[in-house]
Amino acid sequence: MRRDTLLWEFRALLRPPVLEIVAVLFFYVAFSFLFWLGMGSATMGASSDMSVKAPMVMSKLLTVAASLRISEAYFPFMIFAALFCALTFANEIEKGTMKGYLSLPVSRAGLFLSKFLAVWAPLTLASSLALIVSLITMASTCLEYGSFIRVALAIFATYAILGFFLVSIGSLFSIVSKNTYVGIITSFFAFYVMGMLNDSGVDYLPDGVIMSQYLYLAGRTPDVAFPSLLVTPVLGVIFFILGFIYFTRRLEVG
Amino acid sequence: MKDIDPIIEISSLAKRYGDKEVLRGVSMSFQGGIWGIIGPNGAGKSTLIKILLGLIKPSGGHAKVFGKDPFARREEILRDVGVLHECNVFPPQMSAMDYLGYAARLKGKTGEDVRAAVECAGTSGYVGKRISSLSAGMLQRVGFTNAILGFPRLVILDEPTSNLDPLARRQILRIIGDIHREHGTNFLISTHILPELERVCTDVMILNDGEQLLCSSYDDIRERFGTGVLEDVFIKVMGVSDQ
Repeated sequence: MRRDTLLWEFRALLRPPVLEIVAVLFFYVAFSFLFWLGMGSATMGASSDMSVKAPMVMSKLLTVAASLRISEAYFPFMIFAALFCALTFANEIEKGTMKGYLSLPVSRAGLFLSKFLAVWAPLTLASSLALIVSLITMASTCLEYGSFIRVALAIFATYAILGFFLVSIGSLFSIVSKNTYVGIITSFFAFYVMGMLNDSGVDYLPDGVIMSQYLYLAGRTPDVAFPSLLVTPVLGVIFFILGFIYFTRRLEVG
Repeated sequence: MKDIDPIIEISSLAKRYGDKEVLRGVSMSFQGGIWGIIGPNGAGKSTLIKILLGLIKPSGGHAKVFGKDPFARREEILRDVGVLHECNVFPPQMSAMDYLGYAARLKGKTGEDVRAAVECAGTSGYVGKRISSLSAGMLQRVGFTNAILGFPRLVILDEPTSNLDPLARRQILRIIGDIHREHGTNFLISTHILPELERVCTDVMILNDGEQLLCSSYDDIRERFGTGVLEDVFIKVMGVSDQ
């Protein structure tokens, strides 16, 4: 992958409505977290006094966040991942921009990886930073540095893996369909099916894994078997490989 | 070995989309010069160009550019090929100069090469503007500038004058002739506007409904048909009346 191509793809993303989407995602995640966190504290009778000891606060924060569905962010994340993927892959194939790029001496593999990163990075960073900002807002006076770093890394890892999973599926459907609307709808449908399966009790799917992963990385014992933590990354890698192979070996741009 | 490879070599090339055959058994060898591909709408001209650029795979036969398979070795081939597509779509939020700079870096060319191409194509007046603010004709010329960037070994032009006014058309044709003479660049031009092609081409291919009806040097055509007017030759080869 060439640095030029990667930088170009990031620059190409700086257009409406991409920046607006990232901003909406950021504020949604930040504020919904604060909202749920406040509700949770009230429900659980937690003290709003932030002078309690750091490990206890961290534990409480995590418990509240997990129990009150920190994965609420999954919904906007899912929509925006489908939209981003369709704009970056399907829409460019449809409009003819992709034909122009593929008429330049850039490898298909490099172009795919650059586009993938240009979609994945803003989604992951916006969501992770939003939650981290929320944590700082809520617990800046009492969360010790080491714990904060651990929680921040846990948040980032969770969103990075979830983002990788969603962008892998979204890019595969967008590339294969070559149509913006079909790309959005099929990606969204695939994400929705994953969520539905999880809600019906299958614990090997992203919605369940995101919470477990959060707790696991934050130093608490996960309440699910360790292999289930690998399901999201493994499924993500499988979809990623399928998308990569299709883009580099089979995609015809007319 | 490299020197004796033809620029383009096509053998029994076929392309099918579902049940529809858009190219059937096209064979030719292009050693260099200015090659014109003519034919009615839907003849398969753009499909042929897309195969040569490695954008699509042939269903049968094979195509080689500089002796290499365009789909498998696209990146390598495109370092020495410039392209102007029939419908140019550039990222609208960028300036034309940004795009040319990006293309130049990928091709291993310098800012000086970009300036030379801009000067040669006469696009210096608007190349710094955002692509979304350019007219169709300006975009066409930006696409042409991109195609001749670094004066590559082969330039492929799909309908290069379709959005241009008569004056600009003449100018582009003059530039094509000049670049061919001065830099040894070979051109493959697909167009509907036959009188323009007569002014510059050295070889002509006529396609109709995916089939190759004629492929010959322009001199041979003049001798064989007793005329250099490509419209007349086209009508004769197609076997239709101009009435």
